[in-house]
Amino acid sequence: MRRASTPLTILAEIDPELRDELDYRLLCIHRQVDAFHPSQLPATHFARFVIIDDPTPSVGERLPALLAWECNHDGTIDDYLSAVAEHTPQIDRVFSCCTGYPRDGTRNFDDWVLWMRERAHRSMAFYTAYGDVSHQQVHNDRAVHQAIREIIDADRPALRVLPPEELHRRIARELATRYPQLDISAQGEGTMRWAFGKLIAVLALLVFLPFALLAFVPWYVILRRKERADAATAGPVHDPRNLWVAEDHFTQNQLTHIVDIKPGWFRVATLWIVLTVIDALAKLWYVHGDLGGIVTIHFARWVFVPDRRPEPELRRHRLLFFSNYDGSWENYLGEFIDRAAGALTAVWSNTVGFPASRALRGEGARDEEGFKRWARDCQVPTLVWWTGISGSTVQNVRNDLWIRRRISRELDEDEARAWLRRL
Amino acid sequence: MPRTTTPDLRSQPVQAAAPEQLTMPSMTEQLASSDAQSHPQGVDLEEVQGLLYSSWADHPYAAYLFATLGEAKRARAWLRQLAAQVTPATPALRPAHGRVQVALSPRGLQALGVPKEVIAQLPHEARVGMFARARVLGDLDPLGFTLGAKDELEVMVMVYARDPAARDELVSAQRAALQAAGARLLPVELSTPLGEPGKLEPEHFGFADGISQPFLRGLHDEPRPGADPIPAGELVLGYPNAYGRMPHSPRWGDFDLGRNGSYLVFRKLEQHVERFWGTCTEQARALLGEGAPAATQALADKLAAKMMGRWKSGASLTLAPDYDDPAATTAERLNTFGYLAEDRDGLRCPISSHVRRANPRDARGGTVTGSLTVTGRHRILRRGRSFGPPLPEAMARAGKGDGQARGLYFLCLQTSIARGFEFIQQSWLTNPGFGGLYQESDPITGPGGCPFTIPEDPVRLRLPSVPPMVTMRGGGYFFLPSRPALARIAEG
Ligand code: HEM
Repeated sequence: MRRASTPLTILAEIDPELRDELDYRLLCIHRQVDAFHPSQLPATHFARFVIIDDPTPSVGERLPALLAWECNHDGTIDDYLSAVAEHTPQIDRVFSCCTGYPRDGTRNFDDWVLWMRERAHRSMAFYTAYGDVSHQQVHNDRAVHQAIREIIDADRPALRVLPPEELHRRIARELATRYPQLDISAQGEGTMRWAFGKLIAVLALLVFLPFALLAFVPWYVILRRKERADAATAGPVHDPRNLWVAEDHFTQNQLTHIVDIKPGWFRVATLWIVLTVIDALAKLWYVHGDLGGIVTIHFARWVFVPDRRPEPELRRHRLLFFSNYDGSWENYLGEFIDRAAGALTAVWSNTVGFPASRALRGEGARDEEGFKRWARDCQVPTLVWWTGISGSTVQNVRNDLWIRRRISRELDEDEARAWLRRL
Repeated sequence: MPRTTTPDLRSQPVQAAAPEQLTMPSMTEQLASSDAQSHPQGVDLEEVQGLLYSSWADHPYAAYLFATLGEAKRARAWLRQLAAQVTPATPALRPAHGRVQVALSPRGLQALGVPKEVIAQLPHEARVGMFARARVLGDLDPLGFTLGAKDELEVMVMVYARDPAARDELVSAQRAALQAAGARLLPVELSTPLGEPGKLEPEHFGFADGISQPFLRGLHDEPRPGADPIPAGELVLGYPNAYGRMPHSPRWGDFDLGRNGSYLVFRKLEQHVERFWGTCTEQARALLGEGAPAATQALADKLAAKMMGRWKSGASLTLAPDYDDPAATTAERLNTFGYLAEDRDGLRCPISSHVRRANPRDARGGTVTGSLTVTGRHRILRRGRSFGPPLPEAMARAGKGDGQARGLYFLCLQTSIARGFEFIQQSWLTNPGFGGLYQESDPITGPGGCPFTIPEDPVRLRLPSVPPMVTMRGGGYFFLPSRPALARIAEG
């Protein structure tokens, strides 16, 4: 089975000497005046480059600045990196500003892949609205829907008098003859696919449960004590760095967010458990573009950014969040609060400055203004961002898929009517 | 049209200065019984500006004055005398006729000498201003704004009068006062006089407006059927909002400057009436062929209603899918409907229609209550009026204009512009992916040039490209202070 929509997150330390050079290069890429552009990447849904600074450390020294490359691609990471090295060697222009980059870059294929792999960070939780749809499929289905539109618009008076089943058949026939290059097969989207994973997850839960029950009371006591002592940011919603200027240019939007995890192993461990659960839910249950009523997220991920400095008391592990979503920031944050406040609080109440939370689920993100302010505080400008499916919302992608899969089937009257209503 | 008692006085006959007396007893009763316990949402009627309470429909003549302030001391002296004239919500404290309200932009506050750290607490979007937010709002030509393109709208004085002479008097008095204070005045914006009292006011396209409004317990007397109560903190600062939290309110030292105030959005939207009706007629003709003028007109009316989401009478398409049915305009039915159960796919009221986008009610995803909770967090109190003369219907239908500018002074109140007006404008009205749609915007207020889908069985009708029906001419974001806040600002 071909894997669709794999997340890739590369975090590479920037050579301080070359920082200006990198800033400038990213600006040129953003302006599309560089030899490299993310659109040259093979079979990629979304891609971004971000510089992660550490401007105001709460304790100790600043952490070195990182260059983050986030993207979502088809196939395995190895296949993808090979394809990038082969088709987009210009990517050297970006990463040559990082420490330890292989001297000949992509030309030194083995070293390059190794270097990248060493800097690839696993997503602790990853959500995708189309784990079952490849890049190519998304584009095919979009073109299929467009073709159907043209067929109907060209001949609506004659078509609308047909009974629904007949109308559906007629469209399917026209598609096959007039658009032979398009794939109108019923393939894709298996529901059985996740059954095995769900079984494993439930079994794992059963095995884990007795331990969880034992640990629950002490964990809860410590958690509440910590929560009561935590400080939260306060004040009106603001946007001091004018991040909004880079938002709302397309149907889709981006968000990059990084925040210190509260000090100590307790929070890291709690976060690990929470994100593991969310990851399992996202991979096995929320697989059709609907995350508990939120239908606007294409891809989202949490990445743990460890601090490996020798002094444990000075370490500041960080939690990085990337999202590619539809619509406005205000809508996105609003949906978070309206439909997923509990889950988000469970994650982010383990990080610094988050609105006061109760028992990992209460309050927190429900403090609307507090949450939005905090989110803006920790947000980082996305310097280069590219979408491979500009103009399509998650709902569009899922709908196109749904329509295409029912073209070559025989539909009865009700099914045909439902199908036609989706056009 | 039968209507229940409402805080919006336009439903009351004008001859009675009586409407106020009429509502008085219930008001006073309410006030009497409203200690903080029994009425946790009771809003301080003496402190809030009356516009939060009423649209002053018994004052059919309105004017908006905009100005850039001069030297701070003189500006404060001006505000001091104006603050005394500002109409509160309390009926007993209002003059027999004539209403005055005032709003200040962040720049205006600065000009009045309000310290920077206070202004910094105003909402981000108000501080950057509507002009800067053009892209977010889908405004295509901000440089062409005749209002607000130069950050010049510092004060907005709203006056309401019962007759033209009284309005002119109010306008010249306010202008003289501003001028005396060294302010630079912009041309007066005069509203179209309201029509027949007790009737729903049509906007220029011909559709009854002002039907669906949020209802504020403790501020507005009696809910009309279908007027959903929202927490006071959605419209007035200083009270819990729809999240059960106190909305952030700017403080000036110990003084809560925001309390009993609100944020006001003003937009001058020019309506291309001949284009709207011309397009509908043209499309109807294209669908029916030449001839049969009656049928063409009926279809044009239907297409127009599909774009708006209501018929001209105000009847909802979900209740009256086929024709403008008077039975759907009774007070009980006019605004009591949802979309999910009756019309999930938009076969009656298109998902892309203005009214359905502006408030998707129970059809914003998830369960009915879940959706209502979500949509209830994006409600605004609309207080707009029209400008310019109406275009005769025959000309409009023929697609012929008269060279006159006309449109809507869109005006709304809320405690969060980002979650109120901006959200509705951006995430619902203009959003090309709203409700699963493909690259289309509100056919009424959107930027135009995109398709409009009318769901139908067995297959939808799609107008491939709807021209822009409305052009944004400018506007701004303002703070609508309480009366004590005005006094505080005037004090310096
Ligand atoms: C010239 C431009 C506009 C025209 C002609 C117009 C017209 C109308 C009409 C006829 C109604 C139905 C009457 C009613 O429900 O009260 C309505 C409802 C509404 N409009 Fe507009 N409108 C315009 C601009 C706007 C803008 C810019 C916004 C906000 C961003 C807006 C927000 C609303 C809301 C919230 C409703 C009530 C929806 C409901 O609760 O069902 N309108 N409009």
